[in-house]
Amino acid sequence: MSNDIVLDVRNLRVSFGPEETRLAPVDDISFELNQGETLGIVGESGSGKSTLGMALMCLAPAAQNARIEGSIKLQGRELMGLSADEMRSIRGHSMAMILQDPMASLNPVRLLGDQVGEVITAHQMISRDSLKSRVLKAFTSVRIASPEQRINAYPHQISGGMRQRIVGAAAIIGQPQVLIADEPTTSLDVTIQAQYLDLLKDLQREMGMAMIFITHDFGVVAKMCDRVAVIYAGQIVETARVRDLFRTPRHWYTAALIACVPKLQGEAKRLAAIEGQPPRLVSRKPDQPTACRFAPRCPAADKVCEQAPPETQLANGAMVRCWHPREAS
Amino acid sequence: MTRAIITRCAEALIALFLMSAAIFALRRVTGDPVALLLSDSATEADRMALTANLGLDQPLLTQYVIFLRDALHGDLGRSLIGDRQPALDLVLSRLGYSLQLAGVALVFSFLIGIPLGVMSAVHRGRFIDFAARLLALIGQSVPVFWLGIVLIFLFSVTLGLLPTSGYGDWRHFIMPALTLGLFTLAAITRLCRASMLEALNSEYVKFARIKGVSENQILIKHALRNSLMPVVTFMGTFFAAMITGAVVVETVFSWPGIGRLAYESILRRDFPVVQATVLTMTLLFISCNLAVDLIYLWLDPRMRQGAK
Repeated sequence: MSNDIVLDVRNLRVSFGPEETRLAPVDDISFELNQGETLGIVGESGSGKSTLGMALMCLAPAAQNARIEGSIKLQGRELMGLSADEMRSIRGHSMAMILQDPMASLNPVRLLGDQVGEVITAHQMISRDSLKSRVLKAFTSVRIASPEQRINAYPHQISGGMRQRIVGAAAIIGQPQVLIADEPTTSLDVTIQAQYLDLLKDLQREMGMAMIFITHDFGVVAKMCDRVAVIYAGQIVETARVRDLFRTPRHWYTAALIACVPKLQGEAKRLAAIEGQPPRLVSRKPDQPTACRFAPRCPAADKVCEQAPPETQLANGAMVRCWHPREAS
Repeated sequence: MTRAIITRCAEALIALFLMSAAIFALRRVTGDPVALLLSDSATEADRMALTANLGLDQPLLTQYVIFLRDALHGDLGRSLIGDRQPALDLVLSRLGYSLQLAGVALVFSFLIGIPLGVMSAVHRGRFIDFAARLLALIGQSVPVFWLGIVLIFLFSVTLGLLPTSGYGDWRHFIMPALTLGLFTLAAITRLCRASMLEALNSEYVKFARIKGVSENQILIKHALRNSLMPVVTFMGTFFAAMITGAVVVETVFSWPGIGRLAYESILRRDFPVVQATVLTMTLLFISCNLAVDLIYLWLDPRMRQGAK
């Protein structure tokens, strides 16, 4: 089983700011990702999802004194502590990432073909012809019609859906083992969204990639993911297989989130909401565990929740970080 | 693309035409040239004769058409002073000196301003950033004439290193070019720093990092071109600053260019020469902006599309 683990993340922490009052948007996150698997990472805006995605690429946020700590093992190889150049050769090749806004991800003044081919030329000398054929192949595999013309086009000349497919081409041209998709469909039309998700699934199957899918959309999770990690205020509060998570959420936050998803069946009701606000960024020293972060909004919270909640391992590789997990039905 | 170029050129022609009307109108409101030309003892008949001779008895519109026709034939009237040389010849004989000075000043301000702005952005918050911002602040707040006088005092009078004024070898260029270019240099540094910071914080730079592109390549291939676009946009304005600045700088350093010619002609109330100088400056201005537009078409593919 352990041979199948592509990515093993232990106690990952991203923090920034002055030493005394450091803020940690990602705090003590651990998970593993298996070969060919899709792991969803779900959470509200500001819960640290995107920072986590960037941290997995060993890219710290552009903030004062930013630091990534912990351990990220890619097929057994520790990434933390690699030199900048070694890490650069991992990016785009062993691990790739797709960002949310395709218009912003592409440089407006450079040709599409160059921006995709850059992944190759950044690391190796390659003849013009073989570079072109690889770029064309990448364009074809993301279903770009007439790729010969598109490589010489600029981002403003193509549609939003096609732009995101170009971004996808840049992500897969290096044949990564892990693809991190950070809300790749949020800025697309609904119909284009579905197409794009299908495309990602096909690519994953063809290339045998493992995928980390960052989203706030449970519909996308149900469609795409095998397992889900729910993240709250920079910490994973629950991990489970998608089916189990939807059927019996063990963490109160997960249950509340799922209750917020509007249903098609039944009578139309007011949309459910979770009372209160998520904490902004949480500041603490690694050796100073604090109370459960969801406690102020939790219906089951009591005195014991002022202590740091334990990570309880459950059946089927699931985990819940709670003193009073909900009953499995 | 061809169409975009033609559009830009047509726009430049329209601007030039409108400016000629403004210049023509300005000359009409600066007083009666006949009163200026004639001596105090001139009779009413002399006055009428000169008015007819100069075409000033014609309707205004006719006068404008004549003015335009003459201007297109390169005739901008004659100087009222001395041996009454054609105004255009006077301006052209001085133009080369001004262009040399403005050229040196512009190149100097670009060669220093762009790298300084880029380094300031890349090493944000470091010493180089602080130094560049201080220089930019000084450059934009120091008055041109004051800087010129201080430089003369320091390098010519006190240290005796450089000639005080006039046109000559390369040493004559240093102080006037520095004085003329400092404001532009400061503006370019600030502009370049701001646009570079914006580019470096953009999503496409973030995505380039994700793709594994090295920081140097990101700087050259992704950030620089985008951050130069505002600089190019303002190039026309910078050149304008050079031309208007030339009036002061050329006067301070006794530089034989059109700026000093304009200053002298205004003092002598030599209106045809003032008019010819202003028209030449306008022409320079408009051609510069046209050049900027064309460079922009080349730099930014989105503009090519927009002008289709």
